[in-house]
Amino acid sequence: MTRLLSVTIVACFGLAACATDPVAPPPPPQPHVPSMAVGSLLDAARSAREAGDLEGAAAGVERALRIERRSAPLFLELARIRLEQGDFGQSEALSLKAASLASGSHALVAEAWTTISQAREASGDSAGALEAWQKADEFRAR
Amino acid sequence: MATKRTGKKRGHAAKKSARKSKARRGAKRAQPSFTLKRILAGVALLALTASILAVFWIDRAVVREFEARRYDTPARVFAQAVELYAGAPLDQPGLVDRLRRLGYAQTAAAALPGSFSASNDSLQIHTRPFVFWDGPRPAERMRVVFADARIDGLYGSDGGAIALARLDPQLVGSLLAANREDRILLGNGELPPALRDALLASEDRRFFEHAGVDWTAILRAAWVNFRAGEIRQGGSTLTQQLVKSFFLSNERTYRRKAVEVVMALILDARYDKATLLHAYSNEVYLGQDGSRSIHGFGLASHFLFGRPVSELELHQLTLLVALVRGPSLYAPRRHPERATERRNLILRLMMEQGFVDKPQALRAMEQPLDVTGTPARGSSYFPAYMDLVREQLRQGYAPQQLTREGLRIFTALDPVLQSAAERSLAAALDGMEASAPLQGAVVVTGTDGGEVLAVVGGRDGAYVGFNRALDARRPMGSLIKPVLYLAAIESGGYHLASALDNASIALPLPGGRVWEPHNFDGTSGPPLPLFRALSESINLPAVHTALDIGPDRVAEKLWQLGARQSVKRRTGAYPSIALGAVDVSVLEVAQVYNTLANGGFYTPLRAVRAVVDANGMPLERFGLQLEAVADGGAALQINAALVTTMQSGTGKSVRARLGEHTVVAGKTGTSNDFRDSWFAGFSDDLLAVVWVGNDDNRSTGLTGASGALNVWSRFMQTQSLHSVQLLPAAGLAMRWIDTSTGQLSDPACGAVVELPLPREASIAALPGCDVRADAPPREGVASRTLRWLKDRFRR
Repeated sequence: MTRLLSVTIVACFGLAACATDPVAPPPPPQPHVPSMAVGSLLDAARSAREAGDLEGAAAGVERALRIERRSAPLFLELARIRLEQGDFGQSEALSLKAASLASGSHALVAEAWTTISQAREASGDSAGALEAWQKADEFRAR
Repeated sequence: MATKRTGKKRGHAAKKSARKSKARRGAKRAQPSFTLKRILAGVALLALTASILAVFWIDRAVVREFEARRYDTPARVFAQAVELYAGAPLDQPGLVDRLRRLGYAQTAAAALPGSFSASNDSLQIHTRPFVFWDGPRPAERMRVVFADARIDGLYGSDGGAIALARLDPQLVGSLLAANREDRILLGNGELPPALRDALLASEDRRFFEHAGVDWTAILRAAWVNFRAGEIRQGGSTLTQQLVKSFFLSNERTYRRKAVEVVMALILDARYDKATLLHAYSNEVYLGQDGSRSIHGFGLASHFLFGRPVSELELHQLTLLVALVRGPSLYAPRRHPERATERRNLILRLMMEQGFVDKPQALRAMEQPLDVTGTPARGSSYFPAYMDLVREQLRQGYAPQQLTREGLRIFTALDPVLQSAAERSLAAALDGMEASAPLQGAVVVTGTDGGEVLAVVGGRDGAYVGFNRALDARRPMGSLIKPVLYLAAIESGGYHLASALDNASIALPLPGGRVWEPHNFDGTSGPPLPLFRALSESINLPAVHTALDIGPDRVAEKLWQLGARQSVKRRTGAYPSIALGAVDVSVLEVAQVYNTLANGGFYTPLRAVRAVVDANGMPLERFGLQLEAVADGGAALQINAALVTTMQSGTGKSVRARLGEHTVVAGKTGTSNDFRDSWFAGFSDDLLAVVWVGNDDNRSTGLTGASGALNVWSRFMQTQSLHSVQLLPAAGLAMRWIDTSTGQLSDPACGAVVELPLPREASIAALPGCDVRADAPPREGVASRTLRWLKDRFRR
């Protein structure tokens, strides 16, 4: 009798659980495996950058982004290239994107805000640059 | 000279008048033969001058035409190149499909570029050399190993691992000039020797010896035709045929023939044989494909065999030459027996003239024609996508540049996705009952990167004409609600659990009229939480919210997110904008939802990745551009509500098709009187917007869910779907919310949904519910969800 009651109670909870949660969660995502392809593209992009071929470097990073779409380090790399090219607006936007993707890594977010600070400084927005620098500091401290 | 002539004239005149006066004075002692001779001499001189002038004029015309034609190459448009790397989401059948689309031959050993061989779990691929936008890449041999529906590894011929490789991209069309001639130019040295030999053997044996016209050939042909009583042979040289093709009119008069002969002689004198042969190979008319004329062996090779001419074998090359004498007469798909006969005749001629030996010729004669099935129609395989390409290039390039200079245009088109989208639209529309023949449009983009992967302009994918995806503007309807609520949340006064007014309202309009918006089911009622107003697409709360924050704010937000052609910024918006009374194109909607899916980053959608000139020099690259236009936390809340829409809101019918485990986000839209059925939705990496309606704007009787969503889910089913991953945002925390009231709750207290909400928002708790915000999760399905969602935030 008690067993029947237990089973009924558990069944009720089960039904309640189904009622409150209409959708079963999806299986956990596959673990993130660092990609050889992205690594080789990034290496090539860095060489291009050192050789002064900034647009070629940007093209390489964008090609890597098609493979690893939500990579904060890649967006940050692109942000730095745009900074070097003098495209400060894009540098800031790309850094913001990198920051939004890097929420798990404070160091990466700090780097993103550092780049934003540099872009703002270069475009004459000293107040904004200071703000960004302070934000970077906050994340560095965490 | 002039003086002499005048002197002569005066002399003439003097003599004439002397003669005349003599005649007048004296008896009829005229000397007619002397005058006649003079007149004849004058006429002969005039004729000679005229001829010399004519030759000069013809010479100029010939050279002008020849030089112009040399550079008349339409821009080539390529789809995106398939990238191969360890981890790529491509299984063996999928890669084989793409190789076949590229015309790769399946052989035993993949010995030549453009071939592959398959075994149980791996492929050997021999890629073609190709000049990409970032430089030329030589042919490469590689082994591709698969596991778990992905590429597991890529290995070179030395056994070493290859990090990344690209297949040559599929050629999807050309940008044609008004005369619609299409070409794939063969460069110097790209004419296969066997093709040249076949041409000489069958059309012009003495090409390298004569001076443009082969008199012996003409005589022989005349003799043969005379004997036969009909025209059996032509005596025209390749040079003469080249000349003929310069002119559109096909008049067969002696005068034309004479001009043609002169032109051929001039051409032959001015240019060397190799150049002429080369020009001929690119100029000769070989067939018709709908409204597209096929000129040149390069294009004919693609048209008939789906492969470049360098990969063809003897029996295929001779078939190409067979077309020269009669492109329609010997068209292999329509007249296979005749084509085979003519091909074999050419093989016999080649054998007789010593170009091939007997066994070679016999072997080739035994081969079937080997042409592919019906080719893709028209000048583009994907005309709707080409429209977008043209539009994107219109600003930076003059029409002549696009149609004449042989530019190479690299796009983001995914032909497999494009075909799937076309088929899904057609199949879904066929299955829908409506008062009139329905039409539709689809735009597919990636969620990141801002690239347009497919454009479907109508029910008939091959139709060249009005492009509904780009040019049809229809009322947005409920698709605007996410934009409206985004603006509301950003204004500071709202979040997902905010209670919204659901009371009926009557708004006075200028001119004395009154606007009385209704909910879909005509009801009104107590306040609703925002997430439900959005996921269930309730109208009255939307109107109240728009009035509260101001319609101009909604319009501004819509503009910022990407509807930049259709929306006026900042002023003049009506309250009806809350219900989507603004006309937009499907592409604009895709842009707007792309910004949402991106977490509030506006990335201008692009079809073209790069433009390269005929020599491979890069001209322009359209890189990734970003603009932060929405607050990340606000965007996250809206996206969470769009997920709810697909789980329990107006889009929940997809769960039957896509399965319970796939999490997608989307919004249904229905405009006034069911004239427009919309759906915009995305998975982790794919976004698609669908419109269904009637061209004459008649009511369809379809809602967004019953019409456009049908197309969308059909399309998404053809893809390997990945669940939406909502990125956490600073300042937000996941909370359990009671579905009816929007109050804080707990799974134990009733129907709840977990939503991201601002940490500092004060939300009333459900009365009688013990809200334990920090309590350890209860075991069970619900808590598993909780843990999974929390895992997301921890990353």
